[in-house]
Amino acid sequence: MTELKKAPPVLKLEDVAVAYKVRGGEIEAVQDVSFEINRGETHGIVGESGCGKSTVAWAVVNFLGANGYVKRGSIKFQGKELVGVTGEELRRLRGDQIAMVYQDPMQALNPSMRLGDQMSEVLTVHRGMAQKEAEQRCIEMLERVYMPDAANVMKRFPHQISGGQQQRVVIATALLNNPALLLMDEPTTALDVTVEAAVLDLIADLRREFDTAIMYITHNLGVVARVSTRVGVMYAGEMVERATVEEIYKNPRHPYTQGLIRCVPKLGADKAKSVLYPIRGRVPPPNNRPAGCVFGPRCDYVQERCREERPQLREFPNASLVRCHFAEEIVASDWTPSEDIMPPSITGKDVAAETILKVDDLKKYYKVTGSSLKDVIGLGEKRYVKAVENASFELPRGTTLGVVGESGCGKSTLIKTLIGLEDTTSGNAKFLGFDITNEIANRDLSLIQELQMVFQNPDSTMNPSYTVGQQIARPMERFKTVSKEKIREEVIKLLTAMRLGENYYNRLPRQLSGGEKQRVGIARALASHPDLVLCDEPVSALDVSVQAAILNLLLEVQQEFNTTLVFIAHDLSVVRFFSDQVAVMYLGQIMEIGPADAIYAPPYHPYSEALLSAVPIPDPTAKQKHIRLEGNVPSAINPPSGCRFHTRCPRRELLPDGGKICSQESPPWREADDGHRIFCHLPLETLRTFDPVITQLTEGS
Amino acid sequence: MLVKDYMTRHPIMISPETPSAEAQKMMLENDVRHLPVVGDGKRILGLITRDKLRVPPSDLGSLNIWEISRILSDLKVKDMMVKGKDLETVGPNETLEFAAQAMIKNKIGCLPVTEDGIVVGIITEVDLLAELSDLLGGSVSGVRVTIRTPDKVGEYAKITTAIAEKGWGIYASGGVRSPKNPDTWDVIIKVRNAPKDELVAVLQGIEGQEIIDVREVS
Amino acid sequence: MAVKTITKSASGPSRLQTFWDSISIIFDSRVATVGMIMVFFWVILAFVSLFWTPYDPNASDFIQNLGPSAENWLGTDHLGRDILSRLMQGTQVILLKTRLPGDAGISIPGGVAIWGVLGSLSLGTLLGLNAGYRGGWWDQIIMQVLDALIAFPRIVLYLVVIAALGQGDLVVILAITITGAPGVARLVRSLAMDIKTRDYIRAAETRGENVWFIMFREILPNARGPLLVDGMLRVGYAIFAIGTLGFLGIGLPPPDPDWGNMVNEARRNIFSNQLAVIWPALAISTLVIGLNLFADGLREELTRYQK
Repeated sequence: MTELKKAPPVLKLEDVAVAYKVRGGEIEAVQDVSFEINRGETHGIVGESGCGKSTVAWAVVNFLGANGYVKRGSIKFQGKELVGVTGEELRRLRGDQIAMVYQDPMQALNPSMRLGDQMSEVLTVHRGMAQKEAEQRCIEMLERVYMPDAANVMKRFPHQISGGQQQRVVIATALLNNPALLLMDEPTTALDVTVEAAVLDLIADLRREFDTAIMYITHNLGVVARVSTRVGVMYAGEMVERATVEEIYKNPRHPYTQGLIRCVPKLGADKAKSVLYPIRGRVPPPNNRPAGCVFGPRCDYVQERCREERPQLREFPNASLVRCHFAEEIVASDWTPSEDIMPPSITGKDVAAETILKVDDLKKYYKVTGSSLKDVIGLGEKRYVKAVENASFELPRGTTLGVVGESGCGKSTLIKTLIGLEDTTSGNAKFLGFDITNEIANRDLSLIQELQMVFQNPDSTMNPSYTVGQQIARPMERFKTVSKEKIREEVIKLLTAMRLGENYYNRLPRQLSGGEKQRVGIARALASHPDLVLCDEPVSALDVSVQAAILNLLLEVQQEFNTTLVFIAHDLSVVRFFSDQVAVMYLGQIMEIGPADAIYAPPYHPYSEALLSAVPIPDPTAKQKHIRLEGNVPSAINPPSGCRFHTRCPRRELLPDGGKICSQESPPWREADDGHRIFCHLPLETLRTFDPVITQLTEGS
Repeated sequence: MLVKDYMTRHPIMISPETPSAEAQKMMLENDVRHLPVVGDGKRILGLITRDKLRVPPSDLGSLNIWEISRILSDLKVKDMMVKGKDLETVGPNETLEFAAQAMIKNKIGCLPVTEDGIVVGIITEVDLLAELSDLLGGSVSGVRVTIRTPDKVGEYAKITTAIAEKGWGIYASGGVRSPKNPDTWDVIIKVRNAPKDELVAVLQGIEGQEIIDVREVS
Repeated sequence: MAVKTITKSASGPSRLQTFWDSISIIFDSRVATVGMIMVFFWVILAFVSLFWTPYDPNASDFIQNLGPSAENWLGTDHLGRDILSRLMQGTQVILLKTRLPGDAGISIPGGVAIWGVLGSLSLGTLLGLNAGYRGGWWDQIIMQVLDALIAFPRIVLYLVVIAALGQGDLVVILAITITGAPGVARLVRSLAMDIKTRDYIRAAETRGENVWFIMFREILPNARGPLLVDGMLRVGYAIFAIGTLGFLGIGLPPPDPDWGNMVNEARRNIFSNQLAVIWPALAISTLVIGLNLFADGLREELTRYQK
């Protein structure tokens, strides 16, 4: 195919500014954004929350709501100006040529219509196709997106299929009319890692086949590395850097891009190299942006000129554009962390310390109350959601256990059982020698005091009606750890340990950012100096740069107070540098558990291997194995017999008889050295022969 | 080598109600010479080309200057486009040769590619020329040899065997009846990794065949 | 690290500032401001009437059934009493004071409508929190009982209570409490069911806080907004109810005027004096409408920029 032909870009934005009218004026959400997307290209737009990336997508389709409008600039689609297009023409464009896929598939799917009806609507309305033919086309498209049993899916309602499948349906619907431009706004953020990997593969496939131009918006640097050809980095409403994907990762030029890459956990590197450096400061609110360079206050290289003059986008070799006065002079590899963001050193932990938590064969089943008449009376067959099955592990004092798994694997249930929000169905759990298989209401106050929890969602972890000081003080009052006069002093000590100033004492939660609220949540959990803190995905809802700060904070806290931590995450890369032990769970069962380093190198459990090969790595040149799991996670009410993973295990044929034993018998624990255990029928020698999942990572700062 | 492999997908298209001046502007700005005219659902209605946008002076001769301006500003694409029986289109699964023949027969430079009446792409003479160039080895470096062979079965195989024996690769090839001599067949091949003199020696060794042209392309 | 003198927090808003912030929302909504003006008009009138009315409300000093004149601004009723004075006094018992039973003639501050609403808010909140937060059997039983109460026509319920306990201000308060509680309980229950899913409630549970603490100290403060708005609407309903009771003749005992029985009595003479019916009816409607507008406007403003 000759490269000499050059078609005009499908989408071209020039100096676009979008403003919202609010009470008392207007706010410019997006300023000076310019980029273009050609056919068959995927342009990624990366940024943290509030940077305006979704606003850009909505501006293209004129979806800004009643109070938003494009203030300046031009948006050309297929040579035609889009700003100002309304009515019939807009409707036709939106239907025929531009399609959009959102983060939440339920936003796009009508819950009260069958999937087949919704999908064929696109064809019957826009193309005037006959119903039967439209349905046939829909089935073909569903098969193209690898939807199993497509004809049946057409007859179902959206709630009857899983999240990953819903997103496939949405993508299929978007492609039905062969649009020239596809806008995707975080389409895989709400999906599990393995499902996300499959959907990303699908997007790459379809792009090649349909030659669609794709604008892919995300905050996940790993995903962007996997799908894009070019990447634009946005910060506080401006595009600060734009380059090819290899260039952005190998040679980031803008300080913000460099900072972002430094605070993203990298999977392949060894533990010492996976230290995270946060970016200090906060994203400025749109109505209070600094004059001069918008990143200035947080930049390590800021100078006088940055404060006065706003930098323009300048061209650099390899078709990069950077918005910085001093980009030529900044050498990323020379950077050293400054005092305030220096992460704590990971000193060797005393693994011979006493065991404070010993869990033995813990089971948690939930009763499923049916709704048939028999069930109401109590004669129906008893069914259980087998949420946690045979969990066993030991936790020495002062160490961290990371628990990783996808949704439905039982990790949250495990934590809830340990802390007493749920009771145990059977098994033993001993904390400091005391039995904790009962609910909180039945536990001693002094025991409750030693076992506290940090929650996932920073917006709902604080009570909106009380100040920060009041909420941190409450555990102290309740457990009477400190006398009344000393409470305020103690609270301020904790606030300082969290790197929050004393003036946070009287603030209300709505005045805090997500990261600050999470810090207060951690302070509250630590207020009574507990021995064990359970963290339920504490950083999943935070921006990447804030995540790094919170993780480092937890490490510091652990070292200072010698707290033991159980840390749940769904992201293998996050737990890596942070944990001493890691447990991988699937469908209620711990599949592999051992020292952190051991999990990331062979021998692997086949599920861990699949997880590792699914995680998007923020490095486009890394070589990663391509193992994808077929099918869906089975229901926990009726888990597969024998090994719960056997229905999807890609390594099953390595066993005699096609792995018949996997569906019949529960696997044994294979003991590798150092407390590393794998729950699999495959013998250890076979497991050791697997290649490492990730190789060839570029060295970067 | 089907139309769908060389066509431009998602071509720039316009609606029939577009004023002709705007259509002209779009062509200029985006450097295209043909615009498919589509209705709802990208259904093809016609094709507008640069030529069609020019109103022949003879049509205007009888009008005065005000009328001319008014008519020109009122003219919409639907008034000037090629449509109906005059409009030639091609399906995406047709061969490139078919498309080429259609263009030659109708003396047109562009064919909208449609499937069930819906535009899926556009293929122009430039695309076909690109294919021609690629078929003959394009701008890839190597040795380009034109060999005249008798019009017999097995001649082609002799060439390919000879080259394969030496371990060289044929990058591209084309064959056509000799332009001035209907009894013979001209074979053009682009060979990689072959020093020119060695290649010539090997090919000269084949009986009954004559090297007409050989050149190195880099 | 030793703490030095506790510095005044510069960034927390002062009490006065927060108060003003909450109040100023009212002025942002034209609807709420209009409502507030109407309500305040009557409240001020009620205060004034404590000290002064144009004439003695119960004195039959004038010629009956006169229209409005310079002497009697709103005219007189069928017994020759000045209507304006009666209207003004009527506000007292609704808004300002409740008479305790017995002949001692003591009154407690706060009108019948206010106490009634406070009662239904308290009872409703108690029931709603328990039903919403505890769920399970608590929820089932409480809600079934309340549903049964709602199923009764209000008037019938009032009649039952009054027939059982006799007439009197306290009885009316009780009746309003019982009929209002289910609605409040419904509202509080749904708020509690939503709020209890939040992580800060989980956090409280992991501290082993007892159930009452969680309900009243963690959940209730966050239900303030909707409750406040609902409460105001209920004052309107209560006034309406009092009016209805008065109209039926079983409300507050005579001779002290109450708008409802003013309407009732004047009804009998409607052919000779229409205005006597209209004035008290107008009074009831304006007060209730004012409260509704106020509550509505407030709700609109509070939820305007929420997600």
